[in-house]
Amino acid sequence: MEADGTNDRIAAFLRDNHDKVVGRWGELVVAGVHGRTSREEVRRELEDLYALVIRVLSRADEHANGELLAALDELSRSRARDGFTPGETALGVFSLKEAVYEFVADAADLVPEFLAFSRMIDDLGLRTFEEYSAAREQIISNQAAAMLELSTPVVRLWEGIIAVPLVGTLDSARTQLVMEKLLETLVATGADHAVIDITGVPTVDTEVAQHLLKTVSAARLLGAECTISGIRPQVAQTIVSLGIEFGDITTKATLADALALALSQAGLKVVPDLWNECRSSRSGKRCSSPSSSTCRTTPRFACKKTWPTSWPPPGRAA
Amino acid sequence: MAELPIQSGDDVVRVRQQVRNAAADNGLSLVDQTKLVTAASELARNTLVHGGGGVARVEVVKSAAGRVGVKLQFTDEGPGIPDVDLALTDGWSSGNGLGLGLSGARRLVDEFELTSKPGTGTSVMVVKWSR
Amino acid sequence: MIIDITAVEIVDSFIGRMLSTVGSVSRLFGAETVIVGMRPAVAITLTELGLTLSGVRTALNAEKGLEILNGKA
Repeated sequence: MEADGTNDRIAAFLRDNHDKVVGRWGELVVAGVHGRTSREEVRRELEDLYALVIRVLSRADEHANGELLAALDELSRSRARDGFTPGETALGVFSLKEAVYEFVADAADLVPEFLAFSRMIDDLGLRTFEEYSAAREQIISNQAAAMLELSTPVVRLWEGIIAVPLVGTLDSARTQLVMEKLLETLVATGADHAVIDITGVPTVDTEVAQHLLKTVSAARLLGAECTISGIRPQVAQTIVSLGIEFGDITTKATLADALALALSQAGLKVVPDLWNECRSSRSGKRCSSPSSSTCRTTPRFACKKTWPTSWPPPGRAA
Repeated sequence: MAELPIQSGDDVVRVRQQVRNAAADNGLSLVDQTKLVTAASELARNTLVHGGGGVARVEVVKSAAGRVGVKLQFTDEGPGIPDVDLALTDGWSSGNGLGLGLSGARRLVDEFELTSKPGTGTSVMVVKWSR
Repeated sequence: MIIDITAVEIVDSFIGRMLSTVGSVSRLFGAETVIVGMRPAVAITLTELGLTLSGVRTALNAEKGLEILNGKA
């Protein structure tokens, strides 16, 4: 990136023709980005770079080169973030060459130095391109990571029962994230049952099955039992034909079935609420009193609300 | 780059600590740190038990894309591994080949290279990158 | 017997096999063993290594571990 040979004449030229060259450079840059940045903003950026270029050419100090590269890198990164194309970004650098050339074309004695200067600008332009690419790569990988995070929720279904609804393909990267989140949630909630629902997983092949097995093993090491739910008929067929063995892992067709199983294993049962209806009239309408103790319409044996120990209810003679 | 001898059980512990520090200092997540240190423990133990002792090297490396990683090298001048393919048999559900923990260690890292010559010795190189 | 490994940061195959063995041996003496407090990072690593510690019971913490032991006793 160092300019070779003496560049004093071109450095002097740049210094003497500062306003003309920077002005022209600015015009070319603004035209290149189709007016998406303002003249003033561009002018400011270019002034800084121009000064640094002169310093590098005149070999004023040893830090000049490093500073120029740092300034260019930062410019490339901000262009990448703001959605400019890599071409527009590199053009910003190459335009300087163009601007200088326009004023130097007649001065024959400056030609050799101009060629060296031109090569230096070429290198700088390429560098902005690479820095821009690196910045874009970083943005893309950040977004991919964010998407992965978002698509892996772990929800609490009930006291001690959590569920991991998987949607989309289950590859090894996803599996790692699922295991991490599942285990963290097991520790945080103290759950002892996890339901892994694969309704949203389009294909289950041997690789996916292995990822599921791994996840179950990891959860078991933390004392949690796992059920795999959401196995659709076609998926079941594929699993059987591939000869995949889920071993001692319970599988259920739906999340609802898995929940029912988990609840029963926890010693819980879901029963219809028979005591909700007060059969105070033939139509079986609900008892209108706010609580069983104030129900005045029905004898004790008919009102199916749980009845308090005293009869008659308060405020009523026997 | 750090070089540690592996001649005793205590050395294995020291290797673990060195690897743990390198991993933590270079941005590896907790799970990745644990995986790398565990792999290091496996390989260091192998060097000690099967290789008759050897050397561990811990190095911080940078990829072409600019990612930082930790590179480990375990070398011994022991009897070597006669059937490398068998030793590296990867079968997660079926367990590993010769019980040397090599296929397991391989699953814990991003890059894995094994060279072994019966009678000359064994060298294992692994790398784990930060994300 | 409860083995609390909450403070254990690294479990390699050597230690893993040892834990499995403790489980089997204690069963011979009629004592049940539960390993509690395994860290998520350790669990993920052991799973990747292919060690499922299927020969020994595991629980999230000592409290749950005791529930298991009492259930059996």
